[in-house]
Order: sequence, then C-alpha cells, then structure tokens
Amino acid sequence: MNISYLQAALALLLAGTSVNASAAIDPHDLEVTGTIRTPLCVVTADNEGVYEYGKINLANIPATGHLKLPPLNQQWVVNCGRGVTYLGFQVVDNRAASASAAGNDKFGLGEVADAPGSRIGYYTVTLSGALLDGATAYVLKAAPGAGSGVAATSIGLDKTQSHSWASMAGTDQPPAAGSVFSVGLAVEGNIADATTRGAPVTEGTSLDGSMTLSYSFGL
Amino acid sequence: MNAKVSLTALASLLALFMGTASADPIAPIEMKVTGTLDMPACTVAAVSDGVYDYEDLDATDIRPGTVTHPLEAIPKTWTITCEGRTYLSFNVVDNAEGTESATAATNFGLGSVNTDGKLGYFTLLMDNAKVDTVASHVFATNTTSVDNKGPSTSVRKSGYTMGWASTATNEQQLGQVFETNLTVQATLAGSAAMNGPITDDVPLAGSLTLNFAYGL
Repeated sequence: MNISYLQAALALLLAGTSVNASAAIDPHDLEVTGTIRTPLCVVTADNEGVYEYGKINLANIPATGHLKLPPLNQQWVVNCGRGVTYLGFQVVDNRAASASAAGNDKFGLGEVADAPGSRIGYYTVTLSGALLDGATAYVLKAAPGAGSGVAATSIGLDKTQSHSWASMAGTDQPPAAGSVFSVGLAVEGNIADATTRGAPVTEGTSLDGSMTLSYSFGL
Repeated sequence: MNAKVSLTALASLLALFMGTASADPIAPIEMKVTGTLDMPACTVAAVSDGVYDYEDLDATDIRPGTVTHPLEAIPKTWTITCEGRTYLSFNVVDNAEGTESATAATNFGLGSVNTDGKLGYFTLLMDNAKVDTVASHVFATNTTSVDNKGPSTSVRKSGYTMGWASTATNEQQLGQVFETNLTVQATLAGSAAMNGPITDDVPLAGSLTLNFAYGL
C-alpha cells in the first residue's frame, strides 16, 4: 500500500519535471525572407492619352443606328528602364452607364449635359502594332491571373480581360517579358441616334469618354 | 558461585555504565541522500539566427498562371548544445499557416499578396545531422515510435515531432550536442494563386517557431 503511494508520488514528480523540461529550452524562430522587386515603369501616351475628335457635324447622325467616327490611333509606351518584367493592363470604363450599346468591348461616351441617363454613344479600342523592346510583338488578351491567352497582331480591348504582350501569335500564348512595351490604342467613336441617345443635343454637347488603365507586373 | 554472582553483577553494572555512556551529549549526525531530478538546459543556435533571406527577386520570378517557380535551396546549420546528455526532439508551428499555395504537412506558408493571394510555400529538409560530432540519422514522427528515419527527413507540421535517431536502430539518439542542417526550399506560386499579377514590391514572410523538448 505504501509502495503504491510512493510510485504514484514518483510518477507525479516525473510528470512535473517533463512539463518543466520543455520550458528549459527556448523556442527558436526560423524566418524565410526576401522581396519580389518590381521595376519602376513610366507610362507615356501620345497627347497624354487624350483622343480629340474635334467638331462632329450633328447633321451626319443617322435617324437610326450610329454615326461611325474615324479611328484615332495613338501610341502608348511603358518604359521599365533596365528592369525585366511581365506587364499587363486592365481597364475600367468610368462612363460605363452611358454606353449606347452593350458589350465588353464598348465604352461610354458620356451623357448629354443636364440629361441624366442619356447616352451620347460608345467607342471601341483596338490594340495593334505591339513592340517589345523595339521588336515586333503581338497583343495578348487573357483572363486576369491566367497563364496564357490569345495573341494576335490586332485585338479589341475588353473590360473583363487583361492585356499584355506576346512573342508569338496564336491561342494559348504566354506573356513575354521585357523592359519597354509599346502598343497603339485606336479609338473608334460611335454617336447614337436621337432615340437611343434619349435627349436632344444642343450646340456644344461634349463627348466625355473616360477609362482608367491599370498596369500590373503580369497578366 | 558468589564470584560468579558478582561477576554477573559487574557485567550488569558495566552494561548499565555503557548504557549511561551512550546517553552522553554527542550531537546526532544526520545522513543525507541528495541530488536533483532535473533536465539539462539546452541552448539553440542557428546560422544567421535562423533567417533565410532570398534577398531581391525579380517580378519575372512569378510565372504566369499556374506555373510555379522553385527558388534555390538555402542550407543553414543549427546546433543545440545541452549541459548534460539527453534525448532531444522538436516540433514546428507555422506562423504563416494557411498562406501555403499547396497544402501538405511538409509545406509552410510564405505570406499573402493581393489580399488573400498565396505567394507560395517552402519546405524544410533536415539532413547532415550529428550527435556529439558523430553522424546521426534523423526522424519525423506523429506516433510514439521513430518513423521516417534516415540520413534526411522532411520537417513536418500537423502533429509531427522531429529528432535525432541512431543510425543502427530505431531509437532516439542520446547526446549532448545536436547538429543538423535545415535546408529551406521556397517555391513561388504562379500569378493565378496570387490572385493575379502584382502591382508593387512584395515581401516573402515565411515564419516557423521550433519548439524543443526532451524525449519524444
């Protein structure tokens, strides 16, 4: 009887020491560090990204349908200096509600002043003439975060997609890395007829298309 | 007879005398059995204090889509020095748990990007182990026996314990100075796992806590 008490006490003591034991060694951390560095890139655009249609003759707007305006093609260059990177961009249409036709490739031209809900028209943007570090390249369109997409000499800008540069044309093409990325963005305006527009126009009604291009270091 | 009697009396007297003698005031001497049931203290030292630095990586190190990119392996020596002979083991806690882009007991998180995008994961290989300067095997177990024993083993989380084992038998190695290489192998996830492309510098933030214990 006494012996078993002793054993119990001893077992308790050992249990006590083994709990204390782990406290005798200080834990040590292991850290994995580093930084994925992104290059400093400068974006320049012809006419600072402003596409100016000047004066459009109201008389040319058809009774039904759209008046198609001539394309305005301007160059955009992203220069990442000596850094080598993938580059992609997505767009947000700041006048989306005013597009007079629906589609992921159609962007609004704004409302007639003092006529909320009116739609002056829409425009499309075609990407072409891509250059990568001065060499001919292809325009790539892919889902954001995807590994590859469709590459061609000319592709329509899509508000749901990411756009990049590729070294080969075709489907399932990966983006190509480089330092200086350039591409032409051709805007093609379409002015809606009076019914679609939803408000009468007076002299001096302004086209007010606006989109934001967001660049990232990959698709 | 008389003489006999007196002799007996004398003996009794002597006995009485001696009995009185033992009652003399000599301080009693206590006998002690001492010692401490204790564990030897151990100190943990790691090259670069356990920091594995990949330094500057390029934006192109992140591959498009689901293509992953294994980075170079970085080995570092860890030494645990104890005051006395002991068994030694450790487990790991992943402080970036949940950010690993591929889930496994051997994969540890590297941190997040693009809100909840996953930067990748790293593995940790234990090899080139020594106990008291003699080459030792290592093990990783989630039972009470020595499993996954060999010259090298992957460090695992999720209830696993790692330690040093005899090269000959499936037993923990007793010793005073425990050494091992812990080699980090990081893998960057593709842009898809990162929730899309990055737009700014991104730090790697892998972090483990190694908790050491005596025995299994």
